[in-house]
Amino acid sequence: MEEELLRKVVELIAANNHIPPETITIDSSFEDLSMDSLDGLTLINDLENEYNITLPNEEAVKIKTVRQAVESLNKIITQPS
Amino acid sequence: MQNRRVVITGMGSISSLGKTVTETWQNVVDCKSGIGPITMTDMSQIRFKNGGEVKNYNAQNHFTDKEIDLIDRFAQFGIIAAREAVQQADIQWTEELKDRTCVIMGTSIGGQETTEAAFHSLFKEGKNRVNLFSIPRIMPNAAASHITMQFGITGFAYTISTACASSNHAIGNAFWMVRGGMCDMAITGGSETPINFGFLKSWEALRVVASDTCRPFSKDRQGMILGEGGAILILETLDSALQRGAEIYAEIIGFGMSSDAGHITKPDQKGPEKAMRMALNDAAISPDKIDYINAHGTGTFANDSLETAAIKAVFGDHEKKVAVSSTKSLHGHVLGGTSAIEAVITASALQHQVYPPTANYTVPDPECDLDVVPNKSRQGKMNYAMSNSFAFGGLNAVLVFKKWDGG
Repeated sequence: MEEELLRKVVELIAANNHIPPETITIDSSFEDLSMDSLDGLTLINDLENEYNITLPNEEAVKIKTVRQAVESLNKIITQPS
Repeated sequence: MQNRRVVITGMGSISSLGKTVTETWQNVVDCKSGIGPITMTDMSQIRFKNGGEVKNYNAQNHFTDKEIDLIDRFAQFGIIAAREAVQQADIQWTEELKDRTCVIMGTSIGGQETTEAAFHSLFKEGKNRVNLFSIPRIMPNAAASHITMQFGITGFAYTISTACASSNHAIGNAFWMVRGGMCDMAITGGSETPINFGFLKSWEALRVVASDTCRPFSKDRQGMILGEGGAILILETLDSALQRGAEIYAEIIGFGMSSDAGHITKPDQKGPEKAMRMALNDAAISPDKIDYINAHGTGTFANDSLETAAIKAVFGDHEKKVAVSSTKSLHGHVLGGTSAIEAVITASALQHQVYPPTANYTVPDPECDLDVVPNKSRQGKMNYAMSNSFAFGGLNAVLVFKKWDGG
């Protein structure tokens, strides 16, 4: 599951920020990728739409790396409804 | 040209705090917030639920049906506030005065309600035509234009759009115009009506709107709360006001502006510092003269701590003595109209010698360790006040006011 989520996060970051997907890894920070706070929130909003989930504002603003994005996403998707 | 002194001889206000200046000011003194559950649009698909709505507003109490067809809600609020201000100023209009009066208004988006209705018709209902009056209703200059028509003003009129700083830019411009002799009187302020589904969704996407309320300077603040409304000041020269025996509520003595040249949404410290310094310089007073600052104080994490740092940088040791409150905690963030409402409140504070409170204040934040007048208004001597606006896009505008003490 996490692999699939990572693939989707990489795909969205690459498309939104016009950067080659091979430069994005699980260890990349948004800062490394020259993404500012708005770029980070764009990613979160796109992930919410993609997976039909809601990430509260206070969680969304804390996500600053690819790993945090994948882990937060995984936590919401896999939690019992 | 000699700089003329500029005084406020009339005020009008409509917001979640009330439909008149008297009602608004009483709620400020009582620290009674106008923020509550939004009822004027379906909020089921929106994550935040609260806002600052004008309570029990019926356009038919203020306009004919034909006028309502032509005038969007945002312009209605501008006109209503202008009517109150002009009446309060007891202006005896002559053709010469109408020609020497300017109207300068602020708004960030203009007729958003009409824009959304047009989009709804086209995209949701699949209609092939929108309301004929869409353009005149949507255009951001509509409020200024209708005010000129309302009073027969043939002096110059325009609208400034600088997001959250629009009304401070408008009032500051008007102040300079009267001071410099470009006109003898100004009807100036702003209005905004952001509570429309699509626009609320746009704010939801930015994740800066609080799920509870607006808590400026509190450690547990979660963001801003949107509000609607409008406010107007009547500005004229001191000589003119004295000559006609007008009541003077306060004086405007300085205006400063700057740009951050930074980020399109994130605030900066240097830009606000520069605008505050410029306003003080324009007012020809030192920072230690300021008794009260009506802060931009949106309640977002970023703004409130940065604004605190900027205030400390400008005011030095005096930051411990100056009272700083955010009345957005009471009326919400009315975007392009907000600094007009704040100007009315600041002028009223000087008139009545009462420090407006920061409402909903809970936990002190060490990064916002100013005297924020928490939760209760305070009587006290106030000679000079400042009002800050620091907008998205890094556009900053600051006004300085002085108590009218008869001379």
